[in-house]
Amino acid sequence: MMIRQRGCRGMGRMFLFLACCILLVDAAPCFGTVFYDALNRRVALSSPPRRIVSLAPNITEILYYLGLGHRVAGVTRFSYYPPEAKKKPKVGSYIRVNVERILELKPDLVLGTMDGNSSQTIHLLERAGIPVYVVNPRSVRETIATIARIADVAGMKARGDRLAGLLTRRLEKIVGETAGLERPKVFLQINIRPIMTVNRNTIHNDVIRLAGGVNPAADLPVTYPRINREEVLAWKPDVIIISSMERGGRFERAREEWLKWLSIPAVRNSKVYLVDSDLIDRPSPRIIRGLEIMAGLIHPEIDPLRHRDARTKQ
Amino acid sequence: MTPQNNRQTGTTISIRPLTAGTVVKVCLILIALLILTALFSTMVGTAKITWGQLWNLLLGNAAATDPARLVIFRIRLPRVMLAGLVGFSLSLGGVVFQALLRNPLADPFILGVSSGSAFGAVLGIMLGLGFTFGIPVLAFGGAVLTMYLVLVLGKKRIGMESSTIILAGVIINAFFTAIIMFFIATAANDRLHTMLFWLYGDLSQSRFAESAITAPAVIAGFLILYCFARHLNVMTAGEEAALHLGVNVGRAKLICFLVVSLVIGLVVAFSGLIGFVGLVIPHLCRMIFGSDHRLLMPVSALSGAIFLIAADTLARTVISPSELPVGVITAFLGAPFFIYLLRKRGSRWTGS
Amino acid sequence: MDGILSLSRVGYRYGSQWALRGVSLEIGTGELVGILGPNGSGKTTLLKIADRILEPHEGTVSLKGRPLQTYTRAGLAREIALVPQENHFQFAFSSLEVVLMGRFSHMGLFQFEGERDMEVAFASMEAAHCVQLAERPIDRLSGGEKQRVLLARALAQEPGLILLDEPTSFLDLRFKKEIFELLSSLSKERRLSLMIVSHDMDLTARYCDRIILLHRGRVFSEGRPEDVLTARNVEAVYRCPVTVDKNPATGSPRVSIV
Repeated sequence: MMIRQRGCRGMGRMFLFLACCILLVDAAPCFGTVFYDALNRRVALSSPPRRIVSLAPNITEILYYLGLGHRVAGVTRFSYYPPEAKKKPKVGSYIRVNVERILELKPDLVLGTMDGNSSQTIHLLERAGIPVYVVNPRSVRETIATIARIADVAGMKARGDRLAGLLTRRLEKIVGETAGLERPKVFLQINIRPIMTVNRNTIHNDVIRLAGGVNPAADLPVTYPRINREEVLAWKPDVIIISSMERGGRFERAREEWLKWLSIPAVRNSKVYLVDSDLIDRPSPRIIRGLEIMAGLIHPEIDPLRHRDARTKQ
Repeated sequence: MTPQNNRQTGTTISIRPLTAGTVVKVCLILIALLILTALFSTMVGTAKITWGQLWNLLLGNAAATDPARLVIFRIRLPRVMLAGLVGFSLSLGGVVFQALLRNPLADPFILGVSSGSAFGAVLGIMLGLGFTFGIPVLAFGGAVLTMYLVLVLGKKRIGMESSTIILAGVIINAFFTAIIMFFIATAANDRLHTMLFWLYGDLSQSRFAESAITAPAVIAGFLILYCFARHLNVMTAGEEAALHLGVNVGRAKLICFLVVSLVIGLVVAFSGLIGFVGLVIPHLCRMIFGSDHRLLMPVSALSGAIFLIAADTLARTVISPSELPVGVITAFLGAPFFIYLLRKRGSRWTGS
Repeated sequence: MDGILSLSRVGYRYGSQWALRGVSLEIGTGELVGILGPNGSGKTTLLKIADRILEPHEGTVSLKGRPLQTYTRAGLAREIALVPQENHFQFAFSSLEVVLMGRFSHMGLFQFEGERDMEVAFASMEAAHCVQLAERPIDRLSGGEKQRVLLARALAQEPGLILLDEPTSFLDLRFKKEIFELLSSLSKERRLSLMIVSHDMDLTARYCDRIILLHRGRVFSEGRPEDVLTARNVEAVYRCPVTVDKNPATGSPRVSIV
């Protein structure tokens, strides 16, 4: 937040006084700054926000990652990472936000996402005089950019740029290492029954791509298509990744289910893995970790230490 | 139809009632059709499999590592078998309930078995139970629970009064549907897809074990229900008339209701809710084969099996590589046909 | 005359209203008994009790000396048959198939009719003069034709007693007479007992051996037609001034409204 300062000179006080008045009036908006969010909406803030409400779990993660946890005033229902976030007041779920709860919390900034939160919610909040800043990260790089933007909006531009730089370096390292390598087919299963995967319009696909793999379902018309097992057999993926939201249980069984199909290269070569879905489905800082893990699973030759069941969160 | 001579008077009429022979002949034809459909269905799919390959596989001549073997025996055949069993049961249930309730809109789900089963399954999905054991058990339990509730609510002095029973079923349906809606509204994303797929019928991951469990129950259920085929015929004349003619109406209704509910509850626990089969197939068969339940029951059941195998084949091929829930296909095929039936025959449902 | 059906002080109420009270009567073998009475006098209730559709709240009903409850449903159907007043058929069974339904109680565990069943069905249709309707679907027949098929169905049960609920209500004059003639000859030839609930005083008086006149759930009068159908009785029960004389052609009582 930049505040232009005018010093008071000696002679011509009247002129200066008047000038100051005019400039002060003129400069009133300059005590704050204007930002343009992902929807190109004009968001004006008079001072760095102290009470921020996050309308999506990935935004919550980003805020904590930037060290802004103490400024978080409210979160949505499934914001359980980091664990401290669970104690914050809840404002509904990210699909159905409770605007009244938000108003009760008297925030000075609300951070929302484009695909989850409805425009109606945003309008309601605007009418109540609360600034709403919308982000829309669709890829890994956009996620890093979003981290920087949120830092900027929160008045921590330097810190944001530094952290974004760190993440970018890690990203470029992976991209560089996998650059010349052959791309194995990676089948990502995001649901057990029915079997569902992802097409190119998802961040999961971006992770696979950056990690040096190719998603056989990329060109399907549906974003989260339900797939016949036979189809997977026909694709003959080299790696199968099952993304899970829980430990063991059904997902272990799902993996065992695949182990019966020896005609699949991934099964023959014991390349059926479980990956915590939070690491690859969410545009948050952890996605870089997810990318590293996926790269290690898809291209174990890069770093043998990374070749293991990636169930732990970080 | 052979002419029938009356010995005492010598008058001749050219029809005679249904004989066991006719029933057997028609059923054999339908069974042959069923086998053909099943075989054809196993041949259709992403992996191309020829008749020759299929023949070899079935005879056990193929190599153990033949990839087609896995596809046929692990994916397609279990699916075809379950589809056949489910279609058989749904259609049979539809015929029986239409006769018991003398209501052409009756299907096996009218008395709430579907929503109770759905409630159990959705609850199981919410709790994260598996599809091997947890969810089917809960789904079946839900069906049994609704069955019990309907009996308690719908029972009157003579036996089960049709309109009361239907009302009880409707109310119970509404109640459980509301609970299911609540679950859907609060479910996390991954559970949601699973629930919705189940609620529209999901045969996609059938295994032999499922068919092995349901087959004996379905066959036993059919045999028991077939013993009441004559009863159902007579009951079409009205419940009081049936009593006069010697049918123990209360007992027949109770046993039929229990058997159908149990079989449908079991079958639906594995396949999810597949609509229209139990509604449309019996009507179609009645149009072709008449209303005599001694013929209608096996014919309907077999036709239901054929229909559902065909529908499921479509479900997994029409938007390949993606899959539709089979209930969507049955609705798309069934609804227009039902509209056509209504326009042609109004509310009368006549046989041949 | 050995009694087939015997009611002893039978009472039935709907809620708190008694439809029948203290009714005792006996039907003998081969008897043609007519039940007369205004609407609400309990005639239909009486029929339903006789065939155990309703259980009496008071009194007992016996068939051939045994209480009615000791019979199974099928066993009862082999003894008593009922021809209902009207029937709406939703399913298009043929008349023959409808008559064959009367064989239900005789078929036991078998699902398909045997030779004997076919013979009995035929004989019943002949006796009821409806053999020519055998192939026609039941829902396409006229009122009179349907009645005859239903009568054939009742006969196919090979009962000892047939109950008829207003068998002639919807029939033309000619068919009314035909049905009663038929019933009369059946009772004589086959020693069938018949209990007919009817509104048709003339024909009932002419053909029935005995008449039971019901009034508000009680037996008002019982006996031969000429004894029961007196002006005094009819006026008391039907609350309508009448004169009763003898039909010059038949000699049976003729009731005329004044």
